[in-house]
Amino acid sequence: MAFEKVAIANRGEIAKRIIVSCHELNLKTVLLYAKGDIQQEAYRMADERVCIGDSEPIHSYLNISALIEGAKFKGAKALHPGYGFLSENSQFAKSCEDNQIAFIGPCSKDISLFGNKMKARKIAQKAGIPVLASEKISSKDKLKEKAEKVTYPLMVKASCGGGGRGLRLVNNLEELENIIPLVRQEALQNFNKEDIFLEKYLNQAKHIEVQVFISAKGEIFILGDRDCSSQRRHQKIIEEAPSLLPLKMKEKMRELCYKFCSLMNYRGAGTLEFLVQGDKFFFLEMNTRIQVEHTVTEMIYGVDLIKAQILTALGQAVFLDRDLKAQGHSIQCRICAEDPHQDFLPSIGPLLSCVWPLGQNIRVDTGFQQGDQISSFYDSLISKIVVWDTTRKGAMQKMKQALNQTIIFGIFTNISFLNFLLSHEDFIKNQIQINSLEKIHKNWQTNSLPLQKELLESVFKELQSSFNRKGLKKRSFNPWSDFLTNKEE
Amino acid sequence: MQFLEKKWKGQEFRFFVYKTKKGLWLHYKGETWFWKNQGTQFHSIKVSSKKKKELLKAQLPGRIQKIFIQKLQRVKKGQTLLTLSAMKIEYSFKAEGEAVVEDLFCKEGESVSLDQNLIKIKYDE
Repeated sequence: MAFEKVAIANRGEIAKRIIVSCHELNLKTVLLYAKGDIQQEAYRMADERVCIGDSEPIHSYLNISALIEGAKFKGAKALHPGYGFLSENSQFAKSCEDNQIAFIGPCSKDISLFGNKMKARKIAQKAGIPVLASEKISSKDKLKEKAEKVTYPLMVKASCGGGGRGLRLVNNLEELENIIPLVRQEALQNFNKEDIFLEKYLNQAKHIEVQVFISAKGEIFILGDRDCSSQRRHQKIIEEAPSLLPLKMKEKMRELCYKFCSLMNYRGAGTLEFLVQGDKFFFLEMNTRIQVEHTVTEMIYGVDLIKAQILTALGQAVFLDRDLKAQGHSIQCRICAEDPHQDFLPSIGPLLSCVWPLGQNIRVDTGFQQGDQISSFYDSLISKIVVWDTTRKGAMQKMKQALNQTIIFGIFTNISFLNFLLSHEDFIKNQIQINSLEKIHKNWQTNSLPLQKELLESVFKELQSSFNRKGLKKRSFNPWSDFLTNKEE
Repeated sequence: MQFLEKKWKGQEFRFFVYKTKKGLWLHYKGETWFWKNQGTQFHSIKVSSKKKKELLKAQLPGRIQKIFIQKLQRVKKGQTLLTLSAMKIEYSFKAEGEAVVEDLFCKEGESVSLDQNLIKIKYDE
């Protein structure tokens, strides 16, 4: 399908990321944005913009008819959904198809197929990939028996959930009975379907995922794996590629993923998620969107996955110029507007000042710059800092340097916690598991004052006394005079 | 943004400072502090006071996800009172000690704005 203009149904760093790839391919872009959501890079970079509804996502980024209208109004013949929002909504993909807009991603049928985790598991089993014990829950009947069959601890999951929502851990029947209505409600609210199932929970597992890509012609590319075990409340914060799993296991996974892909007519980017415990791995689900952490795969393979997605939608070949061999090691840190000292309370406000790191093999995918506003309506992700080096150790060093260069005023960020995590013994030894961060965070809180209170107070007094002299005329030697001229944003 | 070097007990520290009318921001190795300007008094919002908060306010705009308590109910330390969802995150308000819920100012599903009163709670002596 030919197109010259791509609509972007997203915001923040991913919207900007997509615009850049479109521009590299000489395609025009239309940003479909929510009212007031104009203080961001994507708004300034898009060739055209259409406001598609009120700030609340439900009226804008989740509003299928408004998005389609917006794209049609500007004559965009293709649409990239980014991640989150409607990126894995088959109805949205179908609406695009019905309106002759190329949905940049798999077809609506495949989205719907993999969106249902129970069905995806069946395909995985067909390909010979191990899955965890699970039971579908229809009504209250046999709940006890089903749970005992799966065995505790277990996860209650929304069949159509994603993005770390619609899943809860339970340890016994009482908890299970209490949590089921909650998950159903969350599933209905977020995914518009209340089907749920139980799945065995592994408490010493790593979260490993494999990036796959299938070209328009059906060539299958397996682009290695990523270790995304550093997560809090199912939200990843540090990701790296490649994982440090034993080579034998990696080969087995690759082989099975290839088989999985060859069983269907899927096109474009996809991610197979696994839990790995000991020498065993289990399939969790297949994501049909581009993922937040696609960057680390791009860094080690030297590819542009967003560009590949667009080329695939255009029916063109991908990765022609590349020798697809992974090199070196890449780490990504998600910089979020969350205060780790206040249990990761979202922090909103203006970015009064922000300095992003620069340097060899340092990549910053940011959606916001100085003067932009972090709003409470959307996700707290401000930017992603990605580094590459020949070794994992080198990449860790580089990341620490990059984080130290990053200075943000106006809101609180999770940078200090990221810094701590990078220096943590478990991270260095690659022993982080999916539930490690809660513990590490608790430890950090109790002995985490990086500076003595007295020092801070002394610094502060020094600054304060200089401000209190404000009434006096500025003297040329006053070292604080410059502060006084900073304007309020 | 300004740069400040400070010697403290034989060690040298480098800070970045940013001043606004509302207060003062300080940055040191990924850590940020903010002192709110209150007259000539500055106050760090990072240093939480020892006193238990009796009036819980929405620390950020969002939606009341779930309320677990009722008016006049007794609560234990650490008990979750309500959850607020914003920015894809669910934030729980917990009791800081044994207490009684004196008043409830919000409903489930309600959108609340910044600093809106949510719960009034009376801690035991």
